[in-house]
Amino acid sequence: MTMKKVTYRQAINEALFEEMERDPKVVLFGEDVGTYGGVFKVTDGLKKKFGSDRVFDTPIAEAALMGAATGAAVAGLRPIVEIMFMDWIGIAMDQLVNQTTMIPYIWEGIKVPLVLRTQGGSGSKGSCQHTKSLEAWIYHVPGIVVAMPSTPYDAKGLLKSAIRNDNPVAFIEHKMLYPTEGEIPEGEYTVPLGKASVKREGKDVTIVALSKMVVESLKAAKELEEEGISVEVVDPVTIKPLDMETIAASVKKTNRVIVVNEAFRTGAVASDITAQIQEQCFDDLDGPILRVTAPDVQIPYSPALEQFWLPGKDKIKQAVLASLKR
Amino acid sequence: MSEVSLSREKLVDMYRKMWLARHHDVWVEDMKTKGQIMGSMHLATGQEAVSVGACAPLNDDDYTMHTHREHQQLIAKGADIGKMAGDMLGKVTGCARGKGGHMLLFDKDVHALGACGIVGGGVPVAVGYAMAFKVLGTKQVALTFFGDGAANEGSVHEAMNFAAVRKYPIIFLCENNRWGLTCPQHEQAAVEDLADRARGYGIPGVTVNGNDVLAVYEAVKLAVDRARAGDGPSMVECQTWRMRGMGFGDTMEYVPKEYLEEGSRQDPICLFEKKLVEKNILTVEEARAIEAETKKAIEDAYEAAKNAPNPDESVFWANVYAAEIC
Ligand SMILES: Cc1ncc(C[n+]2csc(CCOP(=O)(O)OP(=O)(O)O)c2C)c(N)n1
Ligand SMILES: [Mg+2]
Repeated sequence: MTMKKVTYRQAINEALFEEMERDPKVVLFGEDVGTYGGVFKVTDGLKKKFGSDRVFDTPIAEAALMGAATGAAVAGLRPIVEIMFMDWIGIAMDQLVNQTTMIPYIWEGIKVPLVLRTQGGSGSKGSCQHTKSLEAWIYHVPGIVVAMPSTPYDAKGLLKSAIRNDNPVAFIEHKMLYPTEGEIPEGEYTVPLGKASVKREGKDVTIVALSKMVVESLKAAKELEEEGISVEVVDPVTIKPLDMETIAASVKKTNRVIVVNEAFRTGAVASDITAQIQEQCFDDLDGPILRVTAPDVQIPYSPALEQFWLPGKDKIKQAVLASLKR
Repeated sequence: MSEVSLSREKLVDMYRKMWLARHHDVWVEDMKTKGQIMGSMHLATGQEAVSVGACAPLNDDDYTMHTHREHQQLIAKGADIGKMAGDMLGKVTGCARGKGGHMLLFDKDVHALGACGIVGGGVPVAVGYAMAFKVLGTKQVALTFFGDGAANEGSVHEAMNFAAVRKYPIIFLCENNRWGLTCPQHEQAAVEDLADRARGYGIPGVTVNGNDVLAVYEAVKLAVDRARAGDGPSMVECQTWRMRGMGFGDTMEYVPKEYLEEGSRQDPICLFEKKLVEKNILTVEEARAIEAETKKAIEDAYEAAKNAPNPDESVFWANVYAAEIC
């Protein structure tokens, strides 16, 4: 297979192009996604190619966006709706919890095939209304698939699967990953929903990391290798449903686990993954499962303060060393 | 331009605040260009008459709620520029001790409470201020700024109807620069004058030229008098021109040349100065002295802020809960 190098941003853009070309029922809308091509330029060129019936800018009205995507999905379209920053997912949340995910369960025989695209993550000095990672809120809701890819390869292949899937799928990007590069095949490929990916093999400790924390964990693993510690990094890619089979196989091998999630600590997805591992892999564990998360503190602007909030390579390394001492 | 019926002192103060606001945004734009400020930056250069005209009829103890394009609004309310500069640079000398940054400015000494990066997010909170004033019988009023883009958020509609039904003392000040990010007003709203919506809530609504500071003043003054008299909310729409990009770095290809030309012709400071000179309220020399003195005030504030200390870790952990729990 011939490979090519693309950014995470381009990978997502390609998936959108290809799927809109393949299926005329796919529509894409949100704030500034049309003429401007998205504030992160992820939807660049789509309006030009597919026209303003299928790709359009909307009023600033996230509740209506989420609800309209839901209705359009019920009535025969396959909408991709963008909520520009995850920080304001709360405005759309009622629709998501009480309509989007309720409908397929109660209205037997009705499907809601939509993709909610949004992005979170800090590191941009964006202060606390533009940097939050609130995937736990969406993750909590029954009936939605939640994907959080960390590489261009996964992002493209997974988004294509998400668009083709008949369930509501939340596709959560990370703003700091957009410029990162990786290899993808020249031609058509997909990545299945619900399958984890082992990003690095190792035997001493398993790190289960989400989104950009995969990148940070790989950096930590590389440095720890020089200290003679062998770290396995597992990226769930889809966090709901979680591929416990892959995670359990890794735990069986290493017997130690760290879960890394850039999010407020209490009620983070990391807490739930930790609980699932504890329930299913208890006999394979040689010590407590440790979590590396952000603290339960709003994300401050000052560059002098942001470091206290951000989880990253160094905090991950410390956790690995602590885990080996237990 | 509207007629002058205010004291010389008040008029000169308004003129001076317009220059302070102008110099402020020009100054921080320059710092941003030089990479001296991190994060995003929304400038209101050319929109000074809206902020100054809207705040001039208010008392210090009236509360104001601001937007994400708020620097000038705070200056108009009388916020301390030194502290503001501290917050803008993430320094401990800011009101938020550097935690909030450019999009979350506030100054409790002048009841500017506060800016909000969530479009439309502050408007319901301002209704709460007005609720408190009514219940407590204080005769204070609340004024909330919001943009033409924000006008389409559910939170804004809910807030306006709520305040109207309860006859709360509040002014809904729509700063209509005809753009919501990259999307023109006519693609976001099917009415031309957003103040037409006031009728639907059963409150008065007027549209004024937002580059005519006296027109803004007069409309808001009427609304404030009404609110203080117990007659409930009003909406004032100020039509103005957004002379800068949505944020710093926005190259504005999508903005028609004619729009910017018209905005330049309607420069609010030039218009006001011309009027003040014509009416012998100010000489051209006095005007130039004010222009220079306000520039110096901004420079000094930012010079001091540059040299101010960063917040330390104790600031990071402070006020996650602002009160004792048990
Ligand atoms: C709830 C929410 N939705 C979207 C955004 C992204 N956004 C930031 S500013 C903006 C445009 C706001 O337009 P307007 O209210 O007219 O204010 P202006 O920028 O023109 O001052 C948008 C869509 C946001 N910050 N919050
Ligand atoms: Mg606007």
